[in-house]
Amino acid sequence: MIKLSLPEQIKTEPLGPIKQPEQPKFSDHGFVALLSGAIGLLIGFLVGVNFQSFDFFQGDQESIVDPDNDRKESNADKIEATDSVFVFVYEFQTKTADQELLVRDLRAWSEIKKCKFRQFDQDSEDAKPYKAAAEKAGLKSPFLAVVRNGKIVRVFDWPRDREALERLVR
Amino acid sequence: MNEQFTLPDGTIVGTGNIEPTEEQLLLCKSDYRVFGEDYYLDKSDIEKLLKGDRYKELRKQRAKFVINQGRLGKCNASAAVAGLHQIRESAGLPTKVLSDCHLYMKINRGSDSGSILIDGFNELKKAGVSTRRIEFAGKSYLIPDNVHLKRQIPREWLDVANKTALEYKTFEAFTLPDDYATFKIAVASALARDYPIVFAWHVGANGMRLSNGYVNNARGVGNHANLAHSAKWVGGEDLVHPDDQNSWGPSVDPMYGPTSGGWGEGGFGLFTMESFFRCRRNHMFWVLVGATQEKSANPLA
Repeated sequence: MIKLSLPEQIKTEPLGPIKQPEQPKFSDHGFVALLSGAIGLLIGFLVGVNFQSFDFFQGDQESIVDPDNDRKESNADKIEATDSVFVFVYEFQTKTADQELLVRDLRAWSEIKKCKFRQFDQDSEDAKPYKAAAEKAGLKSPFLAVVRNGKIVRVFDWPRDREALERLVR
Repeated sequence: MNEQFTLPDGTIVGTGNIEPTEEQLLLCKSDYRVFGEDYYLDKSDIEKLLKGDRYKELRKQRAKFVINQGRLGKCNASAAVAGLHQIRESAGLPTKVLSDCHLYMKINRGSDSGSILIDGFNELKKAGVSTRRIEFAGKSYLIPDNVHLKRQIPREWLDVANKTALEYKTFEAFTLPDDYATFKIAVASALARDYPIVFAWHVGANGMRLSNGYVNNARGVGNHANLAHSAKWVGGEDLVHPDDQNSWGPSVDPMYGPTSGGWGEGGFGLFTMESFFRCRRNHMFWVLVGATQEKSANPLA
């Protein structure tokens, strides 16, 4: 794709700075040599730029100049299902039939995504840190917290944020 | 006592549910909460949760958890452990095969002559139950599935089992009401919510076979304990017919007991509501609503 696009870019690229007006008397050979050199430099520059752009959009972190910065822009929101634990917090005493169905739905979803799933009653000791995180995000139970490496990384309203979560989990 | 019966395929199986005393029943009422009306669902919600013969789907999923107690009279321990397996799975806890023999040897008063359901739940609350596979100092030991006395396993491994058990003692258990009208709605609500029920029924000679998918529950005090894991929605007065997950095999995985033999429809059979209630007056029935593990169960831990 890059090779095919280069000639067109060269044709359309203004070569003004290279075609210097004070050198019209150069011999054909000299002019051609200079032009070739300039084109070579330009090709080198364009190829470099294009490779960087290509890799950035493909998310190839090895060739990204500043991997941390690029990860923030392109991958920060992505959640690896297999390395995450999805924790559903609900209120046991007021758990409605719809919430029961919700849990079933969520459990089935977790199986499809091959991620770990836990559920806690909101009044249990285990639920406390999740509730605190949810409150910060302005959410009340039932909600879904995503845990990675022992840290809560995201909290979702379930099922309201389901579509957003679907887009993020891979 | 441990009455033994012969399944149609020739396998001999035990029972082992003993009637509690009046005093034990009274104590139990003060120690455990009743699965009360706060948790009851409307009829339409029960139907919504169980429609489409959900119990059949759950049978397929839970076939791997069917226990085979063999000839031992450990039905109470097997039913309680099966209930813990189910709620642990519902809570998303890692699959751990618990040892019904470890629980049974602590509640059978020194002989294979059965036990009382209440003793089993008191023991679970106080000391828990060990996993079958236990580990210590880089070594591993599998508690056999055919032992009923503490001296039948090495002393040092019994100590490890008792310590391991402490991790598996946290669960919430409620008792079921004893008047039929409330009992029905409580049972239907619990099973619709996927909360298993440990209950008693009476096995007679015809209990070895099902009749049109239903368990033949004999008249009697209730000599056998099992787990109702789900229910069939039937509507009308009964609302649901509880689905029994027995402990007579067929076990798919030898960790759950001998893989030979088997009862019912892959280990399962239905009860009418009246039949399910029959032994309630003699025994406490239990609803398990949730479990946690003391160590390393919380992803934040």
